[in-house]
Amino acid sequence: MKKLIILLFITSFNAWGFYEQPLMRSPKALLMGDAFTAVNDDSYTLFYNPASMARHKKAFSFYPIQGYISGTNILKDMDRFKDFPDEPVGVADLMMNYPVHASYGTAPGFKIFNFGFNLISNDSYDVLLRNKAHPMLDVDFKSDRGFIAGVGVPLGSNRVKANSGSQTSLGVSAKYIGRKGIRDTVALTGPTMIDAIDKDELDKVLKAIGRTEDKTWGFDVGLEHIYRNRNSQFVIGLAYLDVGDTEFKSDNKEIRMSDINGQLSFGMAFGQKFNLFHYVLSTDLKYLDRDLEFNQRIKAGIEVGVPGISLLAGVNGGYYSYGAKLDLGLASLMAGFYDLEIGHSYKQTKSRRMIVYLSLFDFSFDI
Amino acid sequence: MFTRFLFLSLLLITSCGSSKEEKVESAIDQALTHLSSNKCDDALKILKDGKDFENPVYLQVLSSAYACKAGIEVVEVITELEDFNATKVLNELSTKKFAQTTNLDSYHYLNKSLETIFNSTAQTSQAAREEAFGTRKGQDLGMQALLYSIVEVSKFVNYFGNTETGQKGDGQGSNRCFLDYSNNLLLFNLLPATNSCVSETDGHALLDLTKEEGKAYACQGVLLINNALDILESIKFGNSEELKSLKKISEKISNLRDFIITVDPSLESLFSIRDQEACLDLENEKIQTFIFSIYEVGFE
Repeated sequence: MKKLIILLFITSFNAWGFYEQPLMRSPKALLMGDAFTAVNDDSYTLFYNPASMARHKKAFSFYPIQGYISGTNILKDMDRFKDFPDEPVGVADLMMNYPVHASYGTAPGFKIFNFGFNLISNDSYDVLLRNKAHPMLDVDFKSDRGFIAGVGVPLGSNRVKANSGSQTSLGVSAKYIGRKGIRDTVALTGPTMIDAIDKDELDKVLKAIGRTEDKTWGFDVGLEHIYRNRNSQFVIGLAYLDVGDTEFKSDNKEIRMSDINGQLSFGMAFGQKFNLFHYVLSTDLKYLDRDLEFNQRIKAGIEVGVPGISLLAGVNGGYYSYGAKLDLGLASLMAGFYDLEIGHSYKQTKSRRMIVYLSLFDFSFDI
Repeated sequence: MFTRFLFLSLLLITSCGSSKEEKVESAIDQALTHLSSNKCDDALKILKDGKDFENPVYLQVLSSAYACKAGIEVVEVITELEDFNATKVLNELSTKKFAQTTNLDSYHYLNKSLETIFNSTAQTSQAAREEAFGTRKGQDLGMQALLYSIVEVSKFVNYFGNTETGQKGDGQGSNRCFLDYSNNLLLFNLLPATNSCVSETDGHALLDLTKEEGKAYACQGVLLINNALDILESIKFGNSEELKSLKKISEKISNLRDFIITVDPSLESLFSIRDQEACLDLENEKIQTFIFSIYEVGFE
């Protein structure tokens, strides 16, 4: 294990980053600093580590109606927009290096024994104006429709029980995604944007900026080791999502979409459950397959709660997140704030976001 | 067993390095962030670490990093051009804030910006850029070059035309003409009496065509006009109110070119010179005729 830690540090010093582009994120994970590879206990299991399906001991879990909406956290920037300027120079200065984000999505699904399935419907819009000398707009619009299915299988003879035992499991999942979108950096004063700005309806603006579409398959693989002793649980997970990258091709060679880059994550989580209190501590080292700063890789999260209510918090690449989750039987509501790095280097460009999530009529039962 | 498997998996996968494309993407991303807070040197430094002269976005960002060094902010330029009335194009341009050129530093940096775009293809033309980078990116590069060209023409006129208030020769320098015409009085005598240039020996010292440096500067003046006209022929302005002035200025220069060709059709070939090397190969008299027709006559 010592060798492993040394290795992770050695491979972390070459600095280049990336614009994070995972397929879907669990709202709970985002509020826990996205340190979720080993926690992975909600309806988004397949988006973090398919091996976690092997610990699904309920015979059937169903998440029929759920969805989230997320956007730029303007509550933190009310002062910035108080005196909105009339002049283009003022507007450009105000919006310079200010990431604008909006997304909404749903992933209804079910888990039956150690098999899981989710439908995917997710739309996200990101815009960032940069470069005072010659303003350029980063646009990343994507609309995903598809599904993911996966299975987790215990390895060896050990099996984990509700309050004891341990098991190592292997998981695989496959997803089919149809994506429409565009990812480009365009000059604000270039003909493409001039044409788009002239349009009076959002749909026409998006059409003028251009978009393309493709459908493709992606694959994930994961390993997990879980250990339970009475009210305690310890999990180590390793997940390689979008093995070899999930790439979207375009018929139009001038317009491209975001691909989903392969992502190797290692996570650990420890939690305890008492009658009136529970907590989970988690940490992830993400993007182990990439050259980037160690600070960008590390994520940590915490969940503390009493029956019905949980408080969530985390640190994601140096940025904080926090929120709360309310469980009311057939409905659960979650809301909070999270900051994300959207640039290539550590603390380059912070995107401040807020999220609200609602799930209705989800249930689990043993056969 | 699990720990061993984990260790081997990580060892295999973390040995991957970043590709050239990833390095370039990262350099562009970080440079754009630096340029958002006018950290021009930081942007240039990072762009030198991730070069890709075949990537149009890289070229745009590199060009704008030099423009940043020249103190140019395009939104300010467009805003300042909004009230342009264009009766005397060059006289009006020379008074703009972005035209002020007390020394040639900003002029040189902006020239590097333009060279970044113009030298991006083997043949310097808007058509070649659209062929190499596609229409979408080619047009973006063209519009960027057109904007910078208008600013650089303004600087050229302001500095070599020696002006403070928009009248040729009323600046801190001593010259009242761009060039020395003592070798070609026939040409000089074509100047209307209203022009501020009244003596054939009153050219700017740095625009001495008999010297290498002077010819190079004069050629830059030629290329600025010719490349702007070339871009104008294929660029799409749309209905943008903001860019109306830019279109108006470009059209005025285009009209001036058409008028000159009507008067002397033999000058048409001069307007197709779009790279510095080809210009430096020209005879001095031809360069002199070009500067006279466009700048000396155009800037009163």
